[in-house]
Amino acid sequence: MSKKSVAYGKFVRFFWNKPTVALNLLTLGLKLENTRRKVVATTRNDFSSWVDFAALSIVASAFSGEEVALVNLFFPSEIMAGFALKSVSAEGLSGMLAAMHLEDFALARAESIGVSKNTCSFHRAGLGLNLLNMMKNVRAVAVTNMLCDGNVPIFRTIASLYGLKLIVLDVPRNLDEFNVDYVSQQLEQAVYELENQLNRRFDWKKFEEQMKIESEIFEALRELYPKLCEKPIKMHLYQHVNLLYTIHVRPDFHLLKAVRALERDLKAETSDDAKRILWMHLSPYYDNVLNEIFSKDSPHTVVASELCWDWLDWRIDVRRGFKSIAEKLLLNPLLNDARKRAEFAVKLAKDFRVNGVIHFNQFGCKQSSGSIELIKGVFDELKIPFLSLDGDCVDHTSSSSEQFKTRVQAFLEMIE
Amino acid sequence: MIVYNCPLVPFEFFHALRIPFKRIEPISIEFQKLHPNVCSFCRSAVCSVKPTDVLVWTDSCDSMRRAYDFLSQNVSFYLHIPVKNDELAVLSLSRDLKRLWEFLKTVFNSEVPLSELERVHRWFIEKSIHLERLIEKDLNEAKTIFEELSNQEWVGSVARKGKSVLLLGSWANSKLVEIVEKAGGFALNATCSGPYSLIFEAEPARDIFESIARRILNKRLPCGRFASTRELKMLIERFRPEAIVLHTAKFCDFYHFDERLLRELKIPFVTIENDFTNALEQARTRIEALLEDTKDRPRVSVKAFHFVGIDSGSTSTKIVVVNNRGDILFEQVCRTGADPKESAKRLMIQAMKHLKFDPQESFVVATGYGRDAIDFAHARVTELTCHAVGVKHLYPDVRTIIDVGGQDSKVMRIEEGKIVDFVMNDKCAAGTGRFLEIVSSILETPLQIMGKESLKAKTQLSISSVCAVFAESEIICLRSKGYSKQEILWAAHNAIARRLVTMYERVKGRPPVVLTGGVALNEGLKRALEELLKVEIIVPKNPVTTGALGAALMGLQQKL
Ligand code: SF4
Repeated sequence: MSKKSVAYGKFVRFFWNKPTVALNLLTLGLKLENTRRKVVATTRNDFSSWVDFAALSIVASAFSGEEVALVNLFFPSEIMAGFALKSVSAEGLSGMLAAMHLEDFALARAESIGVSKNTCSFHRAGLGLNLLNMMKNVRAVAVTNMLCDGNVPIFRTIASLYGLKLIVLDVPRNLDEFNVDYVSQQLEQAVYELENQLNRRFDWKKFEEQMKIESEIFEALRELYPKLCEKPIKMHLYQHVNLLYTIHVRPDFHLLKAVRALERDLKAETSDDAKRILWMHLSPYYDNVLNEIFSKDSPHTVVASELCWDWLDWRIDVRRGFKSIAEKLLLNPLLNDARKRAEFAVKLAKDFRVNGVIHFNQFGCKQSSGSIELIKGVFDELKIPFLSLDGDCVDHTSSSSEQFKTRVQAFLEMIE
Repeated sequence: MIVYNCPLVPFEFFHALRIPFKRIEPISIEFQKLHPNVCSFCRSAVCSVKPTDVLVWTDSCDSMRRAYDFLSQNVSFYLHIPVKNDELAVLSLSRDLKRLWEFLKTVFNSEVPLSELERVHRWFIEKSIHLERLIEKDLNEAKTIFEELSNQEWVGSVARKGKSVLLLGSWANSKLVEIVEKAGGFALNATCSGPYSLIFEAEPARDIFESIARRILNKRLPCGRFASTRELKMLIERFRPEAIVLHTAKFCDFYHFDERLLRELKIPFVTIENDFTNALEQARTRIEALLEDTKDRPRVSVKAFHFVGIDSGSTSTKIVVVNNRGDILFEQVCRTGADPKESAKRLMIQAMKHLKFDPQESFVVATGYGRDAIDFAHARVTELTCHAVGVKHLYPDVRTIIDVGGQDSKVMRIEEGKIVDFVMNDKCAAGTGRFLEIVSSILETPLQIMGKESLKAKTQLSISSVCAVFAESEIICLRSKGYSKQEILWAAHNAIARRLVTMYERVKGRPPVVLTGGVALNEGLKRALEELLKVEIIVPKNPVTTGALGAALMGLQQKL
């Protein structure tokens, strides 16, 4: 998302017709950047630096040769932890390419097998990257239809590229005891399938360790939440994406470090006169004008992003094992009716006392933007200004920064 | 009235309760509250729901889920259909079906006993088995059963004549069938408006709800939403279609994945993206091109010496006259204007005057979007076939043709003079001459010189948008940042070239590549394509008339 990534991307682009060189350069670039972020995180030891590092290390593992599981954003990575597989999500990989302005290769590759230009670019680029043979050590491919069912055919295709059986988790739309059983039994089934596929046992200890880390993370976040609402810490827009990505795909000890740092950050005095914005759905990951408008230091900051808090109510019970994970998936407020989602967003808006809400409609994403009119209606009634912004998070050529700028600035003038 | 949204519903319930039921259907308006990202079928079909309808709504896809958000005023049941088919999924669905049964009984105040439901279920399965057999034997009979089971009108041909065409993909209507039939095929509908939506594999079960759940999940041809692979091979082996029309709804995420499989199976097919608003006009051209086979065309006896090809395009009309050796005698281009027939006639008169021949001594083949309007033509052929024939005549080794017109662009792969694969872009301005026109007017650079100008660019600037809507603000911004016209022009040409390259890859294009169409003379586009594709591009002397030339030659081929 920075100018640096774009410049590096340009350099890699130069070698694109020599795939091995390009891939090596990409790997090297990620490694260097990851090391840099680690150094920054250790020295600064603050929340956002740790989050930045955590997010990149997830993506980097896809290129490092570690054993990875390719998943979508909502697939419970705890299962993969039990097999010592690093979860990497296709959405994150697409975002990484976009940050370097290299997504066009992946998008074009997916389109060349017939994938329509009208599908979500996270999907297209994620598939394209695999078609381009860029992933190193994919040992499992897993998907859930939880929020978005466009994922299913994409992951079906990805799995077929590796000759792997696709692990599928079917998540019904509401939380009740029966559905908790249904989902947790599927998780057992998934473990069984993975044991056969990987030819190794599921390691309960590793699984429980992962659950414990998450438990600590969520407990701490819950505790800090009221303070954070009161005095949100300053973050760039893209850092919210890093945060939500880490929370969903691999909430590990890096994130735990971040959360511990958050406690300290919150104690530090900061003056706060910026206008507060709640962000809904995702935001473009490439270098773009939105990141400038909503930077750490601008007079308008994004104080919360919907997808960072969708699991706040999840009380982890390590003893309940898979049932606890099933509960996590089923209690997600985005799973069901749009009204439920709106209720949740309103809660965030009120808790964080925001001055306005921006919903980003990712091109081709039906589940998030389909009934946006309804969500807008709810905010309109509460007289909370709401902007529905169309664009593309991955394909930097399909929406124009000028369009973003005009709309967002007009909106910000409105809430002045 | 019970209204349902997708045939993954328990039809047995409706029959057993004896309540009238029907499926939602696209009507000519769109539900504006749903974001344009939502699938076009859904956006339109939701409008057919009335406030008094009792809904049985499945969460079959994201679009249907979002549509349901707006239907809360209706009495309704929201049914989760698992994306997989295993014992756990069956169990989950059968529990939900049981709840749905109770719900419907309460809503309609009905006391129908389970035994009646069981009877109806057995009847349904028997009929469905029968239906499957009849598809090959007696389409009329199949139609009757289908309509009885689903309360839907049969969509598909009933008489077998011409080439067999399998329709795959999402909900198709009779308009599509008509197009196929007009193009000389008979349509076997394997989309979800056809009999395959009612063909299942029955399995023993513990109770009636489980049995229905198994029936639903054991759909013989699982739709694109399911995690399992689509059983297209089975269908193709069974029907051995000569061609396939893959019909997808715009913004449906599922069916275009079939393309990969179809390419592997090496069956001629065409993908159509239906937005349910326009008249499927472009679909028609594609389907006709798919079914066109010059060898099958009836030979016409004419004492012609002049073979005339007229290509009536959306912006310009072209004429080419060849003699019976195929030598070009006359070529002319004019604007199509509001009346395609008139402009064609004018050109014809000009040709007759110039070459001094009578209409009886000529054989006219019309092509292009306006081909049907040209009433004096003896035959009509799509511009795709004509382009291939015309270019092949000029460059016998050609393997790929990239044709960029004012309103559309197409890439065709040719083997031995015949099209083996093609893709078209006519939905958006990106990738067509239209985009260049827009850029030309924003930058105030005449179209004729903009290609040449672009080659003067000194630095590589990547334009972020090829969407005509966004281009304007983008370009103005670049101008204000101080980029030169030339740099912006080069970036714009590159942007179009990139779109074309994607199409090229889709058909697995290979050299020699010939560039035709109104935009072919633009050196900027040619250079950009050459750089991206790393092949040399051939441009005919008259790149706009290759379609008309092909049409004229098609006439010649038909001479006795
Ligand atoms: S942006 Fe929407 S469509 Fe794309 S992956 Fe996310 S949920 Fe799915």
